[in-house]
Amino acid sequence: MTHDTLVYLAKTFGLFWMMAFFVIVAAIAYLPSRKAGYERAARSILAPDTSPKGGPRS
Amino acid sequence: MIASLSIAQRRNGLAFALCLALLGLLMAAAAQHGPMVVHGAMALVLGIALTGALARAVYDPPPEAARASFYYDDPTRFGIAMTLIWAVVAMGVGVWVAALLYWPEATPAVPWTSFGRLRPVHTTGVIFGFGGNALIATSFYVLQRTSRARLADELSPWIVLLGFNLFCLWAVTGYLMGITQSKEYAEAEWYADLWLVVIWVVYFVLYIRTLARRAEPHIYVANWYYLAFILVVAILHIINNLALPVSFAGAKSVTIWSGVQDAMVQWWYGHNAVAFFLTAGFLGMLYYFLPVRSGRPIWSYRLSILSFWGITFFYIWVGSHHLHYTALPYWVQTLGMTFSIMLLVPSWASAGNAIATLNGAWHKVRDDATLRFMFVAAVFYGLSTFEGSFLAIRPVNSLSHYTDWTVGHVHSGTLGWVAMIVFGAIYTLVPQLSGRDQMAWPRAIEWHFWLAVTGTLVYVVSMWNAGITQGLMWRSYGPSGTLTYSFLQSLQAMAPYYLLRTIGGGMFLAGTLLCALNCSATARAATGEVAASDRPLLPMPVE
Ligand code: HEM
Ligand code: HEM
Repeated sequence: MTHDTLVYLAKTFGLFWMMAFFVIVAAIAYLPSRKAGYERAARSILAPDTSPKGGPRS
Repeated sequence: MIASLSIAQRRNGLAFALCLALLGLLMAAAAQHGPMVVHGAMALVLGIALTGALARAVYDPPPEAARASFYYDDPTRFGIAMTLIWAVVAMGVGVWVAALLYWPEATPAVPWTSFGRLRPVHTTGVIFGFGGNALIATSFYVLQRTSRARLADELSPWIVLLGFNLFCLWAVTGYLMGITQSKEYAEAEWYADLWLVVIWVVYFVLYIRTLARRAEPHIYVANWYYLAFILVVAILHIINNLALPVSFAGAKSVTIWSGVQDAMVQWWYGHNAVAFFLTAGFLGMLYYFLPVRSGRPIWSYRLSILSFWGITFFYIWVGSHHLHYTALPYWVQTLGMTFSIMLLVPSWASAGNAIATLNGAWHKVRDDATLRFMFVAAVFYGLSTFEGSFLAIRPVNSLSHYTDWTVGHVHSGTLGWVAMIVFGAIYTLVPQLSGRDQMAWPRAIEWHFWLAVTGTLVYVVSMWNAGITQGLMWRSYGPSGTLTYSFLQSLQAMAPYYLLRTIGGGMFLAGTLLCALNCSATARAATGEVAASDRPLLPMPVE
């Protein structure tokens, strides 16, 4: 593969691949329908006593 | 340790221990002289010791069936002990080599005490010994809590921990005896590298098997980071260490890569060691222990997912920023530079996410030194990634490269970010694992915190000064176009900074020592109680 082909690929396929990758990840993260699940996940580690017994708890 | 293994596991363990002893014997017998004999002997001794201990226990009573309704934390306890031992030893060596740079005449006339051999003992000891054990120990803990499931079996965590520590020991004793692959952060020779591959596969399989039995539908984000760490480190390690041993009976090997390809593979490995060894796994630690300690969910879980993919995706491309102005094609350098700058976005997203989590809980940060460790870690993570993206810009790198600015950047990342988050996690874990409300000496945490922060600042600020001074001295020309300063003059100018660095490092080491003593006092005062809610959700069937 020559340098020129590589640059061509990077500027065409590479660009769209990265953009598509970003769109997919952003969609997975930010689709409104997924919000509740993520909030649940974020709280899942805070079940009453998994925090250290002496740790600050308000 | 052995009492918690089932009878079948003791038998399997016995078989593994025998294999290890045989492997050691084989290595020593094949090599006949040189460092490989010493390494073979080390494996032989470990193998025999384990064989003896397991053989005696094979007919002991099996563990209680009730163990299945608890998390398996013995490996985590052992891993934390190893973390602290490596921390004290390897940071001690760090302070010693820092002192040697100020006072080179202090080098004894014995080969193994030379700077060149001790420096990799420091880097391997802190990165793999201290960082690696901390990652493995906390990953077992976090994996079980976030999955609400006990580790998939009791034998493989010990294979991982003992095997990994044998690797670290082989590596550092090898350097002392003068063997090295001459690849930074991958200096260990071929047989140690092969051994690590086996250990790493066991680790990966254990992680996946435990995840597969999770009682939580969603895989908490900390596990993604730990998994990225395990998986990518395996890939990097294998590719960078592809080498042909000169003979199977000797330590020396020759890498299959050559010339500029070798340099590129090495720094693709090298920077991703930063990314996946020194960052991804520690972010996993941050995403678990910071919310738990502060009692607040992560500020934005969705942002943590976006930054996860950003970090894993961008980091892979940035290695070439270590090779600016070299024989590496210009466009590859530009590629690395561009991705390094883009990398700032997900990096700051993670640092910001951590800091925003604490927003509204500043009183806790003020009162709780443990949480303060994590806060400082997040701040230094933000600082060192900003600095890194800046250093990756080619003209900036022309000033910083080869100078102590790089060393300053390294330690703002490793002391300020990596070590701080480890200490935060340790001070959260150790009381819990000891069934206590708090550490044995709560005031010592406060002392440790201030020693660590001051030590880091003294170290980093003196290296920034040193680096920029060097960079400027090397590029100042007189009217006739000749260099204004000789190299020696620039070296002499470093003396005050090297002295300061030694002092800062000494403070950091003192804090680490305090932490180790505090942890051992806490472990000795353990109550053995386990909080009722700190249990797996689904007790597993007993074998
Ligand atoms: C007590 C604290 C420490 C001291 C005094 C210290 C000291 C040093 C010294 C003197 C060097 C050699 C610099 C040179 O060759 O010019 C060095 C290099 C290094 N240290 Fe430390 N260190 C400490 C802690 C740590 C920790 C905790 C880590 C990682 C977790 C770490 C990672 C490294 C790395 C990666 C290098 C190589 C840097 C490079 O090649 O640019 N150090 N350290
Ligand atoms: C956005 C994130 C980061 C970027 C873009 C970055 C970039 C850089 C650059 C440009 C260099 C200098 C290369 C040279 O001139 O030779 C460097 C060196 C280094 N960085 Fe970073 N850095 C980042 C974050 C970190 C973090 C968080 C750590 C540690 C936890 C770290 C550890 C290191 C180490 C160990 C080296 C020295 C490598 C060597 O020469 O031995 N970096 N980094």
